[in-house]
Amino acid sequence: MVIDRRMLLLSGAALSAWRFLPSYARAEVRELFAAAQRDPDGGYAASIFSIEDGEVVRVSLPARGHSFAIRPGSEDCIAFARRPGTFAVAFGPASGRPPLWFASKTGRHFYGHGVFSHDGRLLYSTENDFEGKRGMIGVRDATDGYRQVGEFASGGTGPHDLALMDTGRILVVANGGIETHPDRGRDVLNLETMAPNLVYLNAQTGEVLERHELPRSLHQLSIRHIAVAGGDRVVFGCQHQGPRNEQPNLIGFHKRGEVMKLAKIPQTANARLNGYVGSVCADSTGEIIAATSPKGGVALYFDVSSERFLGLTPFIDASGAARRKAGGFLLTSGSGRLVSGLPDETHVFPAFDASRGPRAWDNHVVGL
Amino acid sequence: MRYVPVFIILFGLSTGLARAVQFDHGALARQVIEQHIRPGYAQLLTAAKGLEVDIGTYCRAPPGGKPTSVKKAFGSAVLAWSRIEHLRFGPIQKKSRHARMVFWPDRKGLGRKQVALALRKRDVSVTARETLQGKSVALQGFGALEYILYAKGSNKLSQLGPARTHRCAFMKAIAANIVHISKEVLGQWSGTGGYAATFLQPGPNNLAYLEPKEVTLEIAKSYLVGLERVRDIRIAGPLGLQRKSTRRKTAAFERSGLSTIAIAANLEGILHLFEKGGLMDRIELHESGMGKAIQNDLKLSLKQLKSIRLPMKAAVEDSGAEDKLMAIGFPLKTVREDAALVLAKAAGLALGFNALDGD
Repeated sequence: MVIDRRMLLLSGAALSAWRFLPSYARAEVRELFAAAQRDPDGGYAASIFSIEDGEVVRVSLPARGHSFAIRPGSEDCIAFARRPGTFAVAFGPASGRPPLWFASKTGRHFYGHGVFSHDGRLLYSTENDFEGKRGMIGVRDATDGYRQVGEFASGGTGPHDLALMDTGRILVVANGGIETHPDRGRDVLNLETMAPNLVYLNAQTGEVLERHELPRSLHQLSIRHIAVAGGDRVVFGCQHQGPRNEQPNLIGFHKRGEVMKLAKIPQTANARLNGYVGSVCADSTGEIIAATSPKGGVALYFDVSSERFLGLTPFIDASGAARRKAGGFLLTSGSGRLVSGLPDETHVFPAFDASRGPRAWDNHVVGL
Repeated sequence: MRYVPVFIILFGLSTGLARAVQFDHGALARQVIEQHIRPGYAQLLTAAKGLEVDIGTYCRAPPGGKPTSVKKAFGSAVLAWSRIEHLRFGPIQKKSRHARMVFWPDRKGLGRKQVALALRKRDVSVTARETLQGKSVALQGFGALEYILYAKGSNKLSQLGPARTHRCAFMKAIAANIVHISKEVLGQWSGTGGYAATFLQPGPNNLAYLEPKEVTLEIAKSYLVGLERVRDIRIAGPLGLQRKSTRRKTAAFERSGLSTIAIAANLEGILHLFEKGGLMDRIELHESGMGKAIQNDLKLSLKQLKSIRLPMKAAVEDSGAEDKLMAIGFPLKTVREDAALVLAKAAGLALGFNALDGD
């Protein structure tokens, strides 16, 4: 089933920026994705799957998972526990190798995101030093069973997503600004004083190279998810913790050295996000980004260089967004659906293994 | 024949729309305030005032007597609180009021350590409400009071001396603090101003709710998240069934032996929200039979829980009681999921896996 959906808000100028084949093209090679899920029976798992063949490998998780780090040069990936979880597991589609489990060290928990160094040797993960009330980046050696070999401060509170840029020399971290403590579950402990920021760190030393904050009036706008698009432009998506009648724009584009500001999003499109961005993702060209909102049931698309809004895909409980090799995005939802999202058309894939009942795709999906 | 599917689609759309229109978000909000929120906080205030009076009476009387009346009043107040503990929005969420009432879970025993230290040092700053309210949340509420009344050393309460004087003053300050918080919260929900106005008048200038259905979402979340906490934290924790750990966790109010009946009161409060707050009628209207089925399961679970006459610590070691606790896990899950499904459809709410609790 193909739904050809011309978006109401899609402008001609935006269309001209669109570089892909106008219609959906099936990838020639099998494309693999990783996502966490809640199974129909209520258990949790991380799986690697292809759209065509369904699940290739799965690992049962002790609790809800969140996002993944993909090891360059391999199809191995790391599934992280959702905050305030402490487990992570390395697994891959190659058969015969058992999953390798590891945990955050005492006094830390994971935030659910991680990224590998470009050579695939080091794994960086966002962590919480909850007694010290500071965000940390854990560093582990992938060639030594993910033994922790170091850590450094994330430069803020509540680091959530992180990414590498500048050919892997710089780590960019979204410090969401929200203080939590595992004893208090997921309660926000510092709503009045939260101060989110975007920090650029030297990936080797952890030295803070740049720290950027939005104006003080936006201090309740938690910077949560980031993607590095073409030209090392960092795209960030936010979740608003402040009064509902304030509707700040939730997406921003940032380049090192520039003042941090939010993108100019048409008010109607921003309102569709309902105060919440679940994930952001750059496409394979680095020129288009997708931002999803489960609370708004929508994915929005933007052109990176012009920061223009391109269009949207309405999608109930939309959350995961992964780039597809042939262009566009794979979107996943908590109701178990998979769709291919483009600004001007949406392709709905049949849910695989549906006989067991709908699985709930968790927050993120990542292409291998 | 070609037109039949179109007709069906249009019909489906029109009935869907009619149902969406039928869902009167404003009426639900009014009903929840009048039938559930205000009576709940009013009962808490009454019970808290009773506790304050009983502490005063006990502490004015000559030493030697046991604080039986205080313990009884403490139990009533804990249960009154437990019946509205699922309300985690509005004034109770401001100024850390919820945590100041009960600081739990308290994995590291912060409350125990802080109260013990304050008692040992005879800290004067905990003996007046005005200074107590600026101290750690773990010193301010029911947990601290439970420690003074039930933990080792509580016998000092009945012995003439400075320890009794200090303990009495500390207890009075806590009770006064609970009364004060209850009064503030009830005040915000009463009359036509305060948070009641916020709740009843969603709109573009409202700080908390832009649309009427966001108020309904708040109400639905109280029910859904309340049930989730009862099942997955309050019951699964002491049973050692939490996914993160198989270690059996200590329940709230274990020291006073109120642990199991406090959980029953949690469930009673959620049932009250469901029945009197109006969720049941709305669900029934949208899907005939479903509202009553959920009510039935909630009632049976509550009955089962109340039939356990042991506090949680003993209950999880008693095979009969443990079986009962295990058995209500399933209905407590279905009453949550069934209600979420119907409410999402009937009221057009985003109650998805990620929408409800994303990251």
